[in-house]
Amino acid sequence: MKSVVLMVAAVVALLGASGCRSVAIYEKVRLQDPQMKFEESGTESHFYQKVYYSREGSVGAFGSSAGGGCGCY
Amino acid sequence: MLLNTYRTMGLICLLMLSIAAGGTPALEGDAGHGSVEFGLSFYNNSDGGTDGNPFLDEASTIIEPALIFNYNVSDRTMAWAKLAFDYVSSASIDRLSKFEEQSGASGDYYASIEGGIRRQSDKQNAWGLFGHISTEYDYNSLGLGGDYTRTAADGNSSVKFALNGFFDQLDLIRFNGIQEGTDNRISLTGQINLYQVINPVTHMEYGGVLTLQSGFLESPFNAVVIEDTLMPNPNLVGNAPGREITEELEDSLVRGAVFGRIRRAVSRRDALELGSRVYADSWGLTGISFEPRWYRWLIDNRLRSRLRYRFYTQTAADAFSEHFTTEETYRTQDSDMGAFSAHSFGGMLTLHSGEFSEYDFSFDYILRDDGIDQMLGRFGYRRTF
Repeated sequence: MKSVVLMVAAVVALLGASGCRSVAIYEKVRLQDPQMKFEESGTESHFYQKVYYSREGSVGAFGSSAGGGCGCY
Repeated sequence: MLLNTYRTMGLICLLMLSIAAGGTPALEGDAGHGSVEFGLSFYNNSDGGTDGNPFLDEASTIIEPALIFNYNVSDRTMAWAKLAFDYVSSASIDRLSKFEEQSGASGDYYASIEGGIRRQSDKQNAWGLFGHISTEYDYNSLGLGGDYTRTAADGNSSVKFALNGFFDQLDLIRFNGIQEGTDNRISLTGQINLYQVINPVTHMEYGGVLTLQSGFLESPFNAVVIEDTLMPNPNLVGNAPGREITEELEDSLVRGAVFGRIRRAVSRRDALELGSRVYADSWGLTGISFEPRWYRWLIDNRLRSRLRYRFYTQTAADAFSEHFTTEETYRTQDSDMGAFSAHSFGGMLTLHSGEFSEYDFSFDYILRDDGIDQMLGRFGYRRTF
């Protein structure tokens, strides 16, 4: 398990560290592609957060309230 | 060994947090423009008898329609509203025939209305406010919150601070139908979200969240079975021997999580993402998740797909046990607070219909090692105007 965790962390570090630099506005066209946007469907986020918080002991992350108002089942 | 693993991941996530800050995008669109989004979601989990809590049938089905409106009242101000309703048909329907009153354990609904505004003060500063009201058969909730976003002058990074509070009132309808009045719960959450452009094809978001809760934090309808008798109990799965008493948990909880995800366009049609979250709370429960995703344009500007896998594992809360032979001060048999691991596999197709409409179709299956496997499906429609 520890080796898998370290390997994943190394992959993340490589992805992030590959060419970290200042980016001009005209260079960010690719980041505006719909498949690159982090803000996905609001109704999807709402539903999946409820599922995870209802069926898992942990809550919190990516815009959730992390407590209260959930109506978890 | 598991704790050492969590510590390692926690350190790695803290390292990610130390990298330069990011945030959320600015308002988009002119006054009079906006969007409407409708989603219809389906959830189902079965229970094979001794899966999860061995004394309780935890099968449930949920259907959720939801509606979100966004409207630019000016070039700098957007108003939004979200409406959601859950129809819940859950465990122990047969308990209704035994007890006069039952709460969320045997059938329930949830309805919520949420609304707010977002204001872009200038190119680098934005703020938002929201209010929330929700109600269930045995539960009412009122929430308020706000956030502030600061964007760097070059637009390559931003940081968002958010704070919200919820006041919940619960009707204490117990597992045996007995009503014990009402009680309250307060939740306060602070969150920081950072966004960073790494290079022309890579960006990331990450952050941390901290929640403080106090009040009645148990689930009123949950029971704990004390196995100090040989008498079969007809209310338990398989008429198992034991007597039921109420679930009892501490009246305060501190919970925290750090999270992050990074997405990179690897070709003209493909993008890859890796996300992770590490969670811990004062009740002794820790959790970690990893979620790689693959995005692909199947037909340029028309049809795209998303495949994802999610691994989640958690340790049990200190008060959790599958079996009790004595009445502990703090006690729960809620399987969602026990130790388990889950593997999720899912896919989504998004169809772009013209310039202003999108349709989503998604399906996920979650395999849990305690037997509570889950199935999720969703249809979504989004139109901008």
